[in-house]
Amino acid sequence: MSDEPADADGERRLVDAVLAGDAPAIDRWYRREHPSVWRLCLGFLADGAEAEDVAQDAMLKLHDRLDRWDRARPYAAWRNALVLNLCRDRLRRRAARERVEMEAPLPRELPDPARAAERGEVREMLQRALASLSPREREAFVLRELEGHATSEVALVLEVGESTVRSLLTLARRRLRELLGERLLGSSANDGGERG
Amino acid sequence: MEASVVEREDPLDALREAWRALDAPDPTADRDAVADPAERAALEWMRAAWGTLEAPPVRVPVLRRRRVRRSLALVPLAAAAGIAAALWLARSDEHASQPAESEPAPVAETLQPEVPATALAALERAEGGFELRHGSVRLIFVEPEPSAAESGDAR
Repeated sequence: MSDEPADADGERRLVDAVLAGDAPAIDRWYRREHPSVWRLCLGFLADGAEAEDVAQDAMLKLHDRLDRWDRARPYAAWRNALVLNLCRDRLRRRAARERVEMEAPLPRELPDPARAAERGEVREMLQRALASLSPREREAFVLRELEGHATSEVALVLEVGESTVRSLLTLARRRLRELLGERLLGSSANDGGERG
Repeated sequence: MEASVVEREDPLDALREAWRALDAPDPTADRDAVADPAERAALEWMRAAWGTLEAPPVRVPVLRRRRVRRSLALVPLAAAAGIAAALWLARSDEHASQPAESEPAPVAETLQPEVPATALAALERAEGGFELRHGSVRLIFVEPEPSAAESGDAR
């Protein structure tokens, strides 16, 4: 993330350079954007393999449509909206498969994200937890709770009111509490001191 | 001075003070709204897990948009050049197929308006220029007039 432009002007300059076909700028822009785009795809799709695929597609589309970015809007909101639409398209095509995957039960104890050795399991659990949410809940949850965007910005991207975003967040958190809460409270009660 | 005394004696003062001291919740602070321990634990686990995500290695593809756009912009030019070349060839063929013994027609007389609409035609015009015709499309090539500078009339 060292290539992250410090401000909106930096963002615009980088985009201008990309639009001008400046090869190093394109490379820098791509490397800077890809992790964010991939994370969003993973969050919206709750599927690692598909996230990689859609992220590549999204990067090409972003590059292709960069000249349509309205400079009056925040860049991140524009980018997130484009990624979101691509993910929604993908979701429509695989709705049935997702239902089948969710039938497998979660383990009694969740892996600890702080332990590097458990990263693979953590990611899998994360995907499954996200998959338990409805697509709309997931979109709001990922953008607001995980990516940390302001509620107003999330509302802009999802094209809904801020109150709707809050409702979606409440529903998402409730669902996650049902899925993970008891396991986490149980495990922290059992070995909380060990993890300190 | 007198007013402040009256204000202090107002029985609603304490209530007003308490009212002003109320901390309004931040409407954007959704994160802080989670009071349930199980819900908070779930949220914290999700955030921690999200923080450990590592994007797959970046493979920057060769992005050729600019080049593609340029090539697209050249398409009409290429098409026009192709048509011109075809018309030119047709004109050459017409000249080649003329019998050698026939008298070369005066330039002005080679204009033939009765050429079928679908046929290619290359028709000479007077004054060094010529006209290419394909159906209703007519391309007229005119030799430029020598400028004053070129013709040596300049001071």
